[in-house]
This record gives sequence, C-alpha cells and structure tokens, in this order.
Amino acid sequence: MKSICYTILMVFTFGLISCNKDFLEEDPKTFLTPANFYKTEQDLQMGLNAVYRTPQDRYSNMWGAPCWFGWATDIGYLTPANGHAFHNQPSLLRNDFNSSSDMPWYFWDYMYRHIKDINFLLLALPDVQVNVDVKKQIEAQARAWRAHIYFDGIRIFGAVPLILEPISDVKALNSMTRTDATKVYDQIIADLQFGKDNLTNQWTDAKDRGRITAGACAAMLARVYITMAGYPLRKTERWQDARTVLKEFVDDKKYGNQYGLFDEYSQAFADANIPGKESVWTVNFTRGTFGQGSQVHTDFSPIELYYDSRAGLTRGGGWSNELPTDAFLNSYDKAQDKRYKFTYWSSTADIPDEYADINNSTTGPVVFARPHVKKFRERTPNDNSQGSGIDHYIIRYADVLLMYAEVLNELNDNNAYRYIDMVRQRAGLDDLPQMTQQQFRDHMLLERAWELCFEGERRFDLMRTGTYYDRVKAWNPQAGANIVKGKHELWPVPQREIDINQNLAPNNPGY
Amino acid sequence: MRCDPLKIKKLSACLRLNLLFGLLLASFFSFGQGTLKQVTGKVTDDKKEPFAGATVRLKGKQGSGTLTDGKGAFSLMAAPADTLVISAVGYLNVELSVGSSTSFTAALMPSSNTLSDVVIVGYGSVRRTDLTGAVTQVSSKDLTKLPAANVDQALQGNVPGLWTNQSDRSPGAGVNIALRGSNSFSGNAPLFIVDGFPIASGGGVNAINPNDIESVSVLKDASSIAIYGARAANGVILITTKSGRAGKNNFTINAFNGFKSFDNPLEFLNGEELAALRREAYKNDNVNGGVAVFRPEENTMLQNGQYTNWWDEVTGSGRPTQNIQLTFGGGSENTRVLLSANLYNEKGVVNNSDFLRGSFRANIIQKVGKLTFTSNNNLAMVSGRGVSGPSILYPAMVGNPLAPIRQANGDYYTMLIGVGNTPWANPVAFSESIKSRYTEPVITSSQALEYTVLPGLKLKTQLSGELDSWKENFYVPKALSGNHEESGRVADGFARITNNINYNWISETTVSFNKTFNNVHRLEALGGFSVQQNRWESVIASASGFPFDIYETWNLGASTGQARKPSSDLQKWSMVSYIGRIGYTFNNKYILTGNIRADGSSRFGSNNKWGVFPSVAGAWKASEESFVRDLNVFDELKFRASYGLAGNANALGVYSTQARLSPASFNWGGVEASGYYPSQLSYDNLKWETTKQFDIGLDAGILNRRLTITLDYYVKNTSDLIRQLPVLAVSGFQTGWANLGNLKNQGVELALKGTVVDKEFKWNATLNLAANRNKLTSLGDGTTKIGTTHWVGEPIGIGARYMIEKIGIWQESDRTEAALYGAKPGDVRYRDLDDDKKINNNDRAFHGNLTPDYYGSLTNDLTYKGFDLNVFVTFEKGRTVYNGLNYKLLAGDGYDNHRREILERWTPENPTNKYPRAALGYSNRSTMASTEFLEDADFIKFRSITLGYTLPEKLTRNIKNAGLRVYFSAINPITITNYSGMDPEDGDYGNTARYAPYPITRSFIIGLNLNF
Repeated sequence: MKSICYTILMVFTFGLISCNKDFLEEDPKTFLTPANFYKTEQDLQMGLNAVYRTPQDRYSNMWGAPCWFGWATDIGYLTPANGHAFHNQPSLLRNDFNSSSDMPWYFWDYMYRHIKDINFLLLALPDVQVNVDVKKQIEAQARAWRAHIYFDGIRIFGAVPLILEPISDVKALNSMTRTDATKVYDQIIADLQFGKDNLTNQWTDAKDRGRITAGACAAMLARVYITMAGYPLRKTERWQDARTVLKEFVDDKKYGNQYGLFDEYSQAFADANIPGKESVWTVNFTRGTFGQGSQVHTDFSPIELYYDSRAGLTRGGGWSNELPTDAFLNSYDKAQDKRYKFTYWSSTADIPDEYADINNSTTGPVVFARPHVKKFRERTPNDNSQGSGIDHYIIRYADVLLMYAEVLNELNDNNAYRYIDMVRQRAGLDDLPQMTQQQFRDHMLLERAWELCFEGERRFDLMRTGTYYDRVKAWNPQAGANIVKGKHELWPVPQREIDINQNLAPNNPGY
Repeated sequence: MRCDPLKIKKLSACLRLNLLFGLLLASFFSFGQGTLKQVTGKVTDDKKEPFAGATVRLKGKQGSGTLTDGKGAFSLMAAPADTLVISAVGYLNVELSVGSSTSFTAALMPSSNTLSDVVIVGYGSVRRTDLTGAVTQVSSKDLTKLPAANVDQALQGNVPGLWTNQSDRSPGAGVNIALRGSNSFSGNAPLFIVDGFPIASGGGVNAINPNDIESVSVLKDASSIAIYGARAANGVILITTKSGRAGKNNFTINAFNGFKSFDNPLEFLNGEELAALRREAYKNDNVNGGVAVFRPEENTMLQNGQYTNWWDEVTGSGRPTQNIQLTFGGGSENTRVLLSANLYNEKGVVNNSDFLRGSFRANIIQKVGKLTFTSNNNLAMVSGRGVSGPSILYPAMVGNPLAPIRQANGDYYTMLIGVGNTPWANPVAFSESIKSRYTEPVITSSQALEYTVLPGLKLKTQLSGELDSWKENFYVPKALSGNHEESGRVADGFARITNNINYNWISETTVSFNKTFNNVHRLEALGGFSVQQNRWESVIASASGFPFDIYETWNLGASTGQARKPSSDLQKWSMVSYIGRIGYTFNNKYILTGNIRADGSSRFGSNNKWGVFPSVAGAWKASEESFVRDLNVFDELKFRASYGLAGNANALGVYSTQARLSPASFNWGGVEASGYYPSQLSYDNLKWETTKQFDIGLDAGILNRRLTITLDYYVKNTSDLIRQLPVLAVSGFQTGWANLGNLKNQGVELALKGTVVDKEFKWNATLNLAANRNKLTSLGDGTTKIGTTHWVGEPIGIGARYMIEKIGIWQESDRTEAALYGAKPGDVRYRDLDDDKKINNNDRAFHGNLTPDYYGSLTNDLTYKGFDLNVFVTFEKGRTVYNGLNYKLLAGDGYDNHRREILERWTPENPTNKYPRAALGYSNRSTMASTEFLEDADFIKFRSITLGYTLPEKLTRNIKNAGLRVYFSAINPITITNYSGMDPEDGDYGNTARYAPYPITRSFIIGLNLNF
C-alpha cells in the first residue's frame, strides 16, 4: 500500500515535469535570434539586405557624411556660416579636432557595426543548406562590403583592428591591438579577389539592380592597388597588379561589356541612369517612406534657398555644407569644360526653367553668397524631407578610365592618353598634349577633381599621391591655416576606445 | 512535454533512498515503555466551550499525540510517569502529570505575545523560541489596523527592516519596498509566496484580501531566505491565509464604511495675486516695455474677479471607502473549511479615481487516515481607474487661475499652461471625459497532498496555479485627444486596449523528517524538488480618429484615422529547483540549521544555468542554561547567528541573455525587402546577482515576558551586480551586460514589545526601529562611477543628490559681484565651488540622503473593559526629497500657478534669502538641480487611531455566543513634517517634471465585527 502511495505521488509530480534539459532553454517568439534565424536562403538574403542598408549611413545618413572627405581638401571647405562644432572640427583642423571629436567616433562605430553584421552572416553561412553557387554569391557580396569598409578604415585611421569573426568576449576585445596595415590589405585583397572570381558580371533581374558585381570588385581592387602603390606604403609593384585588372576591365571586357560613358556628363547623374552603364559600384537610395532617401543633395544645396520663402526644401534648398574652393573653381577651363556648368550654380537664374517664377518676380532670382554644387540635385519640386532617390557612386566608370590612365602613365605606357582623353572628350575638352610623366601626374590630380569632385574620393586621392598637405595649404585657406603635416593625413582613433582598451594607444601621430 | 526517463529514475531512486533512510531511523529509535493505561479527557477553551482539534501528547515522546474530537474529548495510552501536553496554535500549552488519574479536564487560554507562537518559515514552521534566523511575523490583527487595499500597504510599519514608501497614494496603489536596503540596480522587489506558492504577478498579491490572511512572515537573514535560492536576495514575504478551526463553527461579518477628506499642504495664488506677480516679472525683466501680457480670457476673469481653483475642481472630500466581508470558518476533526467573500470599494479624493476588489476564498483541509489534502483557492476581481499625473494632477496643480474651465460656447478651455500658449491639458476636461479603467480577474489555486509515512516522516506534493489577466480600456474623446500629450496629440479620439495575461504554475514535492531522540537530540530534515513555469502574454491595440465618441474602446475597427500597428509580446520563464534543510537541536539549547537550494533558471546565460545557495545558522538558548536561569532576569535569552547566500535572478530580464536580430529593410529596385542584422549579443555567462549575508541577533524576554526584545545586526555584500557597461565598439556594439560590481548594506533592527500596564486597564506597546547603510563598494572594472548616477564609495543612486548649492539670494549690495555670474539682485545665489565665476557642472557636490538614517513605528494598544484603543504611528528620519516641482511652483513668472510662498518673494523692500524675485523665463535661478529644492522629509505620521467597543457578553449572549465589536478609526489623521511638498513619502521630481503626486488621504471609518 505504501509503495503504491509513493508511486502515485511521484507520478503525479514528475508526470507534469519536463525533466528534459530543454526545459531551462529559452525559446523567444517575439524577436529573431541567430538560433532561430539564418536557416534558409531567404534568411541569408535578409541578412545580406541589412548589409546593403548600412553603407547608406556612410554616404548619406551620418550628419554631413557626404562632405566628410571633401572638407579640408583642396577642392572643398565648410561654409563659414555653419556653427556646428561637429562640422567645424574636421573642416578647420584646429586643435578641437581631436580624439574626442564626434566624427571619428561615428565613423569608427559605423565601420565596426557594419563589419559585425557581415561577420555574423559569414559565420552562419556554412551551416545553411543552400545551393553552393547561391552561397558563393552571398559570401562574395558580403566580403566585398567588408573589404570596402576595411579599405575605408585603413585610409582614415591607419592600422585598425582586423576582425573577421563576431567577438563578444569582453576580455578578448580589451586585449585587442591594431592590426598591421599590410595584413589588413592582404585581407582586403583576398575578399575582393573572391568577389572578382565568384560574382556574376551582371545582375539581370530588375530587383537585383545595384548589387555588387565581379566588375565592382575588380575596380575596387584596382583602387586598392593604386593606393598601396602610393603614399604611405609605396608598394610600386602594385602598379602592375592594377594594370592587369584594369586591362581586364577596360580592354578585355572580362567583367562584362555593359560599361561605358554617357554622351553627356550630366546624364551620368540623372536618377534614371543610376545604376546604369557608368555604375560600377553604387549605394542604393530610394526616395519615399522607407527612410532610405539620400541626403547627399541637401548637403550641397544652398541654404539661401532653404530660407527663401518661395523655395525652401521642396525647391532645392539645403544646408550649404560644402562649397568649392576659389582655387579649384579657377582651375577649370570655364568656357570649354561642360562639367563646370553642370557642377555649379550661383543663383536660381542658372536654372531658368525650374525657377522661372522666382527669377521673374520683382525681387528677382535668389543669388547665393558663394557658388554651390548642383551635380547631385534632383529636378524640383521634390520633397527633400524624404531624401533623394538618386543612387550614389562609389566607383564610376569614368574613375576606372582615369585610374587606368594613371596606372599606364606610372608604368610609362603612352596608352595613358587614350583613356584620359575619353573622359576629356565627353567634357568637351581637347585631347591632352604630350607631357612628361610628372606633368601627367600633376594634370591627373586636376582631371580627377574636375571629373569626380564631391563624389567622396578627393581626400584619398590627395593622400595616396602624397600631395595632401601641400595642396590643402595652397588651395584651402580654411583648413590650410591649421593643417599639420604628418598629423592630419589620418584621423584620430576615438578616445572612448583607447579608454576602454589601452592596447589601442598610442593614437595616431599628433593626436 | 518530453521526459527524460533516465533522470526520473535517478530522482525517484534518490527520493526512495531518502524514504528508506527515514524508515530505518524511525524504526531504530522508536521504543516502548511499560504499564500503559487508557486515559481520557476533555478540553475546553477559555469560554468553557469544547475545544476540537487540540493536540494532546505525552511530553518528550514524538508521535504519541492525538487530537481532541468535536466535543473536545480525547483518549490515549499513557504511563503514570508521563506528562500530558495539550496544545493548540494560538493558545497556551497546558501540562498535566498523569499519575494515577485516568480522566482529565483542561481549559486552553488564548496566548497573546507568548513564546510558544509558531512562526511560518520557508517550507515549514518553527516555534518562535527555536528560530535561528531573522524573521518577523505579522499577525492578522496588525495587518488589519488600517483599511489597506492590499498586503504591501498592510505591511507598512509592521516589520523592522522593511522600509516602505508610498509615493503613489492613489486608491489601490502599491508600495515601494526595500528589505534591509537596496541590493541591486535592478529593483528591490521581494519574493512573495502565498501558501507555499511563489506568486509571479503583482496581481496575485493585490488580489488577496488582507482580512483573509492569518499571518505574514518576512524572512530577512540568509538562513531564512537561502531556501528560496536565486530569487530570495531581496527578501521573502510568506503569506499564510486563514484556515478553519475544527469544532468551532464561526461566522464573521466585518463591515466598515468610511469617508475621506484630505489635506493638501500646497496653497496656491488666486488670480489677482498671480496677475500682480506677472506684472512684476515683466517689470523686473523689462520685457514688452515692462508691461505684462494677458490674454483676453484672463482679462475677463480679472475684471470679473472670478478665478478658477483647478485643484479644487478635480478633488473632493466625502468619498467613501466601503468594505464588507463574510467569513465562515470551522469544520470537524477531519474536515476544516474557511470560506470568505469580500467586497472592497474605495473612491479617491481626486475625482474619478477608484479601486474595487471582490474576492472569494475557499480553504479546505481534509484528512483521510494518513493523508491530508489541503486546498487553498482565491478568486478575485480587481478594478480601478487611476488618474494621470501628467494630464490631470499636474495641470490641476499649476493650472492658471485666470483660465476659465469652459469657453463661452461651452467647450472646454485648453490654453491653460505656459508662456508659449501651447494647448495643454485641461484637467477638468480630462478628469471628466477620459474613459480609463483596468479590470483584473485573478485566480490562484493550490492543492497539496500530504502523506504521513510514519510519525515524523511526511511526504508532500503541491500543485499550484495562478491566472492573472490585466486589461485596460483607455479612451480620450475627440474634443480632447488633440491636446492629450500622453497619447501623442492625435486628432478625433484615441482608443487603446491593453491586455496582459500571466499564467504561472508550480509543482513541488518535499519529504520532511522530524524526530527527537533520547529527549535531547532533535533532528529535522527536508528535501524537495520543484518546477515552476511562467508565461506572460500581452496584446496592445490602439486606434485614433473616430466619427463619434460613442464607441469608446469597443469598436476599434470604426477608426478612420491613420492605421496604428497593434503589438503583442510573449515572455516565458521556467525554473527547476532542489531544496534541502537539516536542523539539529541539542538539549533544547543549541540549534544548528543548514539550508540549501539549487536553482536552474531559463533566464540565466547558457554557461551559468545553475546557482547553488547554501546557508548555515546557529542559536544558543542561553536562558536554558542554569547559570542564566539563576540570574532570574531572563525569561528568554537567545543568541542567533547566520551566514549564507541568496540570489537575485530577477535582475535578469526574461530573454536578456539572448542574442537578437533587428529589422533593417532595404529597397531593391523600388521593392522594400526585409533585412535583419544582429542587434544584441548573447550573454552566455550572465547570471544572478549574489548576496552574502551575515546576521547576528538576540531575542530576550524579561519581567515575566512583559518586555521582549529582538535585536539584529546584519551585513550584506552583493556581488556580480548586473549592469550595462560600455564595450569596445570594435565588437560592433557600444554596450554590453555583465556581472560586475559589488555593493554593501549593513544595518540594525530592533523590535521592542512591552506590556506597560497589566491591570484591568491594559497597555501594550510595540516599537520597531531600523537603520540601514548602503554603499557601492566597487564597479569591478576599476571605474569609479556609472554616468553621474552611481559612485563607488557612495550609496547607489547618489547621483540624484549631486547638485549645486543655494547659499541665498543676491542682494542689492551684491550687485557687482552678482553681475560676474550674469545674475541680478533677487536671483538665487549658488556656491561657486571652483571660484571660476561660473555656476556649472563643476560646482556640484553631494547633498542630503537618499534613504533614511532610521525609521520605524510605534503601536500602542490600550484596553479597558470593553473598550480598546489602538494608536499606530510611523516615523522616518534623515531622508531628503528633491522637490523640483517647486521650480515651477515658485518660478515667479506669473504664468502657471504658484504656491502662496511666492508672496514672500525677494523685492528690494523685502531682501529675503528665501524666495527669489519675480522673473520671466526662470531667469531668477539656474536650471540645474540645486539644494534650493532639496528638502528634509523627516516625518511622524499617525497612521491610524482606532477606538473599539466590544459589547458585554450579557447583551449578546442571547445570540448564541456572539461577539460584537464596533469601532471608529481615523486614518492618517496627523502628519508632522517640515516637508513642503504633497507628502514626505514623495519621490524625487526633477525641475522640469510634468507630474504631480497624489495627495495623502485622510479618512474616518466606522466599522463592526460580528462573530457567532
């Protein structure tokens, strides 16, 4: 009788209990975890979608981001009317641009946020049952973005910690050091080569427009090579590597024959044409309700229009965040170069069709205190509070041609003229006369500025050509007054990070 | 549900072993004694009524007992040398030597304040004299001194070391509780256990009618709480509900009815005074040519001399508090029943605030042979309407007396607050028109089956469940929703339904063993296993833009406004626990207890799924030693010490150790595509916070126990504090959670109970006193503070007392020096600590305390013949409150309303150092927190004064043993304090807080208790 009683009692109790060890495991339903996500191809694609979303921060969303690498260059400066320390610090290069400044921290944070997303995706990849080819395409796109980010990082901060797998352990993080630059470059090259070798040449489906292609990786690889060949690494053997990949791209059409220049410079910046034949690598923006509109155009548009009651944000107003320097404006062949007229405006009278009512009113056109950049603006009226839908070029085909010309000149190959002249011809300029190698170099620095100005590469072009200090000193009175040679070539590592992990000290020289 | 058969086998094998061991022990130590004879007897109570259910046993012989039957009769076998011990809970023991007699009679006298009381502890009960830990047991009588809406309110002032603070005084509101100080950055909520069932939801505790409670045990030291393991670090509150008493069929009616008034310590300006202030402010700051601006409505009011007193418009006296309770308790030897029904209805002093509770309880104990089945069931419905601090109380406090309630066309007036003419809440409109009510049905049920295997060896299994469904229906009518900031100023009506449902169940099995060997060795052992799971679901649906107000919340689909997304949530947690206790008492002098619990919790990180919490305690009953007895001083003298561990698992939120992905959609070719990125790491090592506590205590009784003393000193060191800290952004994250940091609480507690006069006039007094000191000892990573909130070496949260110091008002003679600070005569003057002629963050220092230096209560019970008088006082010393509401109420701009104290403001003619000059835009003082608004919140509160009269028996005898008591209570009749805000129990309010506290309610109650 007793044992029956015990048995009943125990069955009663234990029958209700799941003694399985799963009983103490959490199984959340209201959010995704890596444990319940990354199971199917669709999950991986969703992970990849988020990876494509993040660069919008770097090219548009972060405050003034489109101007970060144009300020304190020979061609761009911050309007003196801007009172934000955040903008003034990196533009004026006074002592208040230091390791506690916001902008280096924002960029650092953005970099590693993005790398974290990519590394999580790459870590999950091997265990998902998906077609090998699909998997490779996903891996290649993710790795291409990682290469892009580290390439940014190394050009902005110098040596940075290289993280290739998610790290959560506080101890491991706090003992981390900055990785030698050549190691970071090795990884960048490996990632881009993987993309070059595995990605498709062209995404055919309309919904895949703007994805990274083999050509994008090849062109980025060329940019990496010419950067390594220049200051500060001076690995001149990389000119040859660059030539190889650029020849494949331009002459052999190995990465597809879809690339070319539009007949007119202006066509390259029309919404409908990006992505298009001049797009090698772009950041996708969409006007509208998704919060994915670009702020690039508002950063460059005149604040005079913003304040004018007849115009405002919907009719081309903006923040005047970056203006062209006088020296740069004067460098153009203003009469011949079509790019000059398309790139700048000084009053609404420069766009008669859209501003007819204002121009013809009794008060007349709105005249800006300084010429402004208009190459990124959309036709008005538009609602700039939604941002612009114009995608932003990371690499444009004209840049590929100019890189090719530059590389050939460095290798004393006279074919250099062929490719630079393609770009010049479209701009309405004559072919370049025969020059010495050095004259060609000097001219190339100008030609790149005329063609690619304000698209985000200027700072890096000056840096790799070793001309940063001299050009800024000579052309940009705003930053030139304060620039320190050997210091401002790099940004400081954020103090917050050094405070947490002393191994990241010392900071870059001068900070 | 899946089961691992292997594990079951192991467990049951283990339990069997335990049982076997028990059986062996039992058979080994039971021994008989010769020349037994049958003895019989009858037991009555003090009123000569038969006493059923009393225990009759032979002294020193465990398992020899029997119970008296329905007629109070008993019979058992005893030897002439034996002594009969007759006992019952709540009565004094009677001892009778058997000798040659075979028939006995005994009358049990009710005990009050005796040492034979039984104290409920975790998984059992002990005689108070045998207690090794620090436990305060509050009786039913003490819990019902005040007409408390819930248990937390009822506990106020009754437990030394339990600091309570009623910052929200609206009907039915809960109480802030900290037992022996703050243990954590994550809150101080103790674990509530009702009849052995750990309650997971707030509703489960609020749904208990305080009149259904037999006792509440508050477990404070490590040895008492360790048996509740990972959830016990903030203390454990054990609630035991009443049960029927065999042979005493008892009907009780308790009813009371009360009316409320309230005392608002804040007095406001009338319209004329406010206008004068505004004129002076314009003049002082020379704005608008020194001429004050008034809106047309304000001018009309001024001309008519009619002013609105907003506070009076939304409050009122004479609101009822009603309670009616019907109870039946009784049964026979084998079946005991307690049934009760209760309706409680409280209307608040702020218009349209109320709290309602209906509860129905059935507690049944059924014995069948060696089996006892206990069933405790509560069915309750709680409902209430709160009032919003931001929308009603705040505008009622600062509302402009020159603003009308309604416009000429009858619509509510809205331009009520501020210089900026922002349409703002009209508190009368919101109070009258907003539909807001929560309803909360709560069901709790516990069934337990106990099997007495052998005398002293028991097997018990309990299964309990709780269902709590909280729902709020909230509607802001069309005319007001555009001005209702809390729901986002949406047009044309705002409706919201929130439903949170909580399911909680536990299954628990214990084996207990209790035996005395050779009259000197008492051994107690307990082992058990428990599994608990909780599931919380939530749905929120809201809509705005309605064609009519008529739907309120009952037709959300009729909304024509912009679609609002509904939201839903699910949170589950589970625990598996093993418990063990061993106790040994030698010669009734030396007591040693060890408790242990291992808790596995789903909340813990995957590398730390199990926590083990051991404790030990010892006690020495010195009064049992002959050398102490010879002193003839102590009736009781006991020294206690304990040490052990407890955890705070609830500092970890459900799923807080889980990695998360968040959405980041991306637009591909014009089509929005879902995207997800890792937004939180998993914290595989994250675990409970651990509190190690040492307690040393003393229990003494002198003067024939007319004076009893309980004194405790404790030190608690809490480690592995759960906190968020910055991590290297290289990880891709900026912050992470970790177990890092230590804090310390130490304190003393004193309880003094005395019978001051013990004649026909009787006077009992109880004094509770406690002091606690809290200190953050380290943050574990070498840092010295968290933001400006927590500082190593200071009490946690000290940042709230880090502020600049007001040293007076700039006077005319200081004009030049004041100008250095950009101030004028009449502005507040602050201490410039670094003397840099600027008042900024660098001039901050610590001022005042966050917690009291000491606090306590004093209860006086006086009886004379049929009269009884109870006076209950609580007090607190040393806490400061940051009353930043005065920043607004003493702004001196003459826009929103002001306290009358502003009439004593600085003027050249009145060079006071107290209140600054009239000024616009707060230009007369710093926006920073300053000591100007830091106030001492010391208080002495008379919580209740109750005068009762029990009708003489001869008047009620005709109604079969009936007892009738009528009483009159004054609740919160007197508060003595220098605090200038609403009530010294207020929390801190920042300078810009748009909030106001609910006033304290004073009420007068007439009640009756009828027993028959």
